[in-house]
Amino acid sequence: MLGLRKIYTVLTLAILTFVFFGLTSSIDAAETITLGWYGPTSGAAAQDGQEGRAGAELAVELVNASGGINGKQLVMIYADDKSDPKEGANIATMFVSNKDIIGVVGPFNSSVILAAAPIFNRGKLCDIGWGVTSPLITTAGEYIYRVAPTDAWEADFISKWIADEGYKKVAFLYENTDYGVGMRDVIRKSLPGYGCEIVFEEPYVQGQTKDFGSIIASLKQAAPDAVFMGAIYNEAALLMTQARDLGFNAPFFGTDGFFSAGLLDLGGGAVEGARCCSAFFTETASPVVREFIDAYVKKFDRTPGNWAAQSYDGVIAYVEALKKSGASTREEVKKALDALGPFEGATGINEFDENGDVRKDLVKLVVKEGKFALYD
Amino acid sequence: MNDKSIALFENVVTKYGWLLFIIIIILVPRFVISDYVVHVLVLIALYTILAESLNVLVGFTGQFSLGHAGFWAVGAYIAALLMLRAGFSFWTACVVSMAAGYLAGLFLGIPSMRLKGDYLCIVTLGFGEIVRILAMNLEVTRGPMGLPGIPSPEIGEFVFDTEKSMYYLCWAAAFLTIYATGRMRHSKFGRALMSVRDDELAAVSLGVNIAYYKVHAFGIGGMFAGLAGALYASWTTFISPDVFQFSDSANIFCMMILGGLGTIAGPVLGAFLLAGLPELLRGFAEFRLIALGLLMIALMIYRPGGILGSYDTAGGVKKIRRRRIEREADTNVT
Amino acid sequence: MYLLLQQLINGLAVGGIYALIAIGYTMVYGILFFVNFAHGDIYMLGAFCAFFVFTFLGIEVTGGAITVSQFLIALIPSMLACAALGVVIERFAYRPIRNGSRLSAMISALGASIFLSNAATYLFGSQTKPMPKLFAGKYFTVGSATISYIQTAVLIVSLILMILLHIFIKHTKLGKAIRAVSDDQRAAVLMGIDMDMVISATFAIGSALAGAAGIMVGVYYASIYPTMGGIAGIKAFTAAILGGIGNIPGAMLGGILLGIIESLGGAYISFGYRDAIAFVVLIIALCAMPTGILGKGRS
Repeated sequence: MLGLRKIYTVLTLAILTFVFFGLTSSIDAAETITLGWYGPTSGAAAQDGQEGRAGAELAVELVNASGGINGKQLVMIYADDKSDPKEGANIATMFVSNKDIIGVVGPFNSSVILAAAPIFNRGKLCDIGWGVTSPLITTAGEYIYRVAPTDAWEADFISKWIADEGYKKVAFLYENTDYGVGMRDVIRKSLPGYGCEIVFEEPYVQGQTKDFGSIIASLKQAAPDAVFMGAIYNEAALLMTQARDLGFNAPFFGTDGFFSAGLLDLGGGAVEGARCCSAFFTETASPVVREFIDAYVKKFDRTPGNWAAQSYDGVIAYVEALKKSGASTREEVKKALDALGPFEGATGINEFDENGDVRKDLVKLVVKEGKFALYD
Repeated sequence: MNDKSIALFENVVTKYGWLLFIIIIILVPRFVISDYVVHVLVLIALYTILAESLNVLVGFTGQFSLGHAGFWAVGAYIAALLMLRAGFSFWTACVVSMAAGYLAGLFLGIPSMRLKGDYLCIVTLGFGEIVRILAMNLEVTRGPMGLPGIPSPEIGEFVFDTEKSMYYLCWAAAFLTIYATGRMRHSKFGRALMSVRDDELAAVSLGVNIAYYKVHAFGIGGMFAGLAGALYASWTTFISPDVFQFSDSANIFCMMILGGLGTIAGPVLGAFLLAGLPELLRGFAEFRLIALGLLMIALMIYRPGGILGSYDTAGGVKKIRRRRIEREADTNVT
Repeated sequence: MYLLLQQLINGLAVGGIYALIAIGYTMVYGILFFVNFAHGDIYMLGAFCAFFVFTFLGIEVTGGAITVSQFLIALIPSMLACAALGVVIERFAYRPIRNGSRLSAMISALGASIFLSNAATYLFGSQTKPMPKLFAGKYFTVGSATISYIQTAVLIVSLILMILLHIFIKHTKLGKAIRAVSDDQRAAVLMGIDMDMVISATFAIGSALAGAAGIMVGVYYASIYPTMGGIAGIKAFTAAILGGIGNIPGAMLGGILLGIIESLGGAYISFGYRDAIAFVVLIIALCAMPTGILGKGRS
């Protein structure tokens, strides 16, 4: 039984490696401030994750170039959650176990932060989500914050916009994820509240449904005045393209999920006139936002998207809070974040409310001549 | 080290391997300060249960299954819903989850009476997806929003809400699974399962009720996966359909194959390697799955029985295949 | 009535694509009796090949439009590249274990699939890439139903390819050899047929058709991404089983049938359950008539 001997040797070795791995952790923390960042830099949402990471990297670089936080350099530890809640829990434990880390920024997916939240709360470590928008996160615990506006708020914003434009019969299409379903739950109340009627409502599977022909057929039959999509740009562009191919021409509305260069690339002429909202927009007068955009273009040679800006602001929230308070422990960081008040980042003026949700202004955007432009 | 001491070491490891392993597992939290390592080891314990229970199906009985995450999801959702909505304690919920996993297994086992090989593979894959799509669309599971706030297990005053307490609970369950499958392998039941795997025709002629054993292999596999589900739900306190993807089924399958199909220690090793190593190699996350794909091909070419595979499984199948090939060739259906 | 007609048309267009992919599964299965899980990924790589051909030709991929001749120019190199890839995969991942157990073959195929989709993700990025459109925004109406040009084109190209394949299989020497091996391997070898060559040819043809399906899907939806092979591959396999695996007309029938069932199921139940409907159909089909609609009878 040669096999058996090997089994146990390998098993034992595997465990020992783990033990040693756990024993070794860095100690050099006196001169630096360490934060953790996580997001899906690989897997299905890798594009958004990598953009978010770029935003965080830029924030660290700019802060350190301007002398750090009260003279201390900022160190960021990055981790990849692959959009998998199991990975989220692993990373949360990894960050909580690393005593150097006094604050965390991340992740992108709502299901990932919901798996990680109990661990952060137990470890009394603050986590600022940069892409998480589910209304559930509002109550995920006192250590959970976010710089991304909640779906509830955005959906309400768009509902009001649709009503203001005078559209009465509205169709709602949504991706079957926490993002889409969260929005559905809000608009079922908000649209009728503004005097609109939901004439058609259908989910589709995000990342898998490419053929919207049959949804559009049903959609045409419902004959709505406007279509509201709880969708990200991939499916939104596909659906609009196919709708135009099949002669369906009602206007499309979406939230910040639309706001991406991807919508324009994939949709081409078919997304002309699509309307959405966003907290971040490149054509703005604010010097802080301009500085972010210029630095980003210089470093990465491309224009930043919404997620780069949100992730950047997640880091900036800590920087501002630490500068103001001089906090150096996790407990102090939590107090500093609670006492932070309004601060200006790449997405404009941010402020955390008592639940750790962010308050910031949204702008109305429309696709005009192949570009996003302010709606007026 | 000289040859003698190596021989002595190997001898000790061979004889007292499991004991040593148990002792190490018990002692690890004493010496490890980092909750992170404990956390990863809990995950490995759960994957051990899953890979070991899949082994009953694939390794013992020869029934391919690519839907094991489906049973896992059934267990997790049943336990979570019972605790959240009906106020069950973890222990009762856990037992019900196992029963639910068992029933789901029997249910999926019905097609297995008629199908095998690639067909069965696709049906089980479909089962895993159907479970996930149901969890995604039903009101009671709250769809993609998931179920947060699942309570931790309690005994009297003691609450299993730390990583270390869950570590002991999950490894206890893992050892229970290992022990149960180990015993099963040498029982009448286990030998009947293996006879079904090796040669159905011979098994029938020896009076083995093939349908019964196939269906019950699925039931038992599902039952232990249900246990892993209940533990997972109350450990992470949050579940959503994202947790139980096809890639997880494939991952569990690979753990079992990599370690050694049909062996008892193999799935444990596979769980350590495929759930543990990626944590060590976080920097190479992008290459992880590329490497996994190549590894699977290489393994099948050079060592089809897995790392620990004694050739009594893979080789056996190979030999039998020669005889069976014409019989099977025409149709994949019994 | 409008809805039913419109959904039937949509189902036909999607079904045509499923059918093209399904043919590759069926051909390989007919000869080697195993499921080439990597087939869906070859389909994905076909779409990416076309993307690079368009870029190479200087065609604007972002929101661009192509003519029929440009489409055909991209179609041919993509099909050839996929054919070559299919042969290479067979040579390195499947041939060494041809005499091994079925489990080994299946795992190796799964490994090849995981490798291809993740290597593509690494090389091309996970984001959805734009493709130029064919017949953008053009449609005609039949009664109350709307049919876009591209839907018609997809169906027509699929049908032409299937007819060509049928002629090839029925009337050429190589086609006859493939059929012979599929019917009785041992006898075929005894008649002097080169097994390796036939298997390579099978992989080449199946993969080329998958590549064609990939590029058609690319221009149909004007977008491609590295994981597009997964679910399409499973659906196509379902179609192959539904029609009777190992049977080429069966794959065509199964594909179109599955497309229609999905469209109608989605419209009348819920689009959230669309993929589940495909799997339920599969399981019922397998249990009720495991040999499929046009499958060979049991021996």
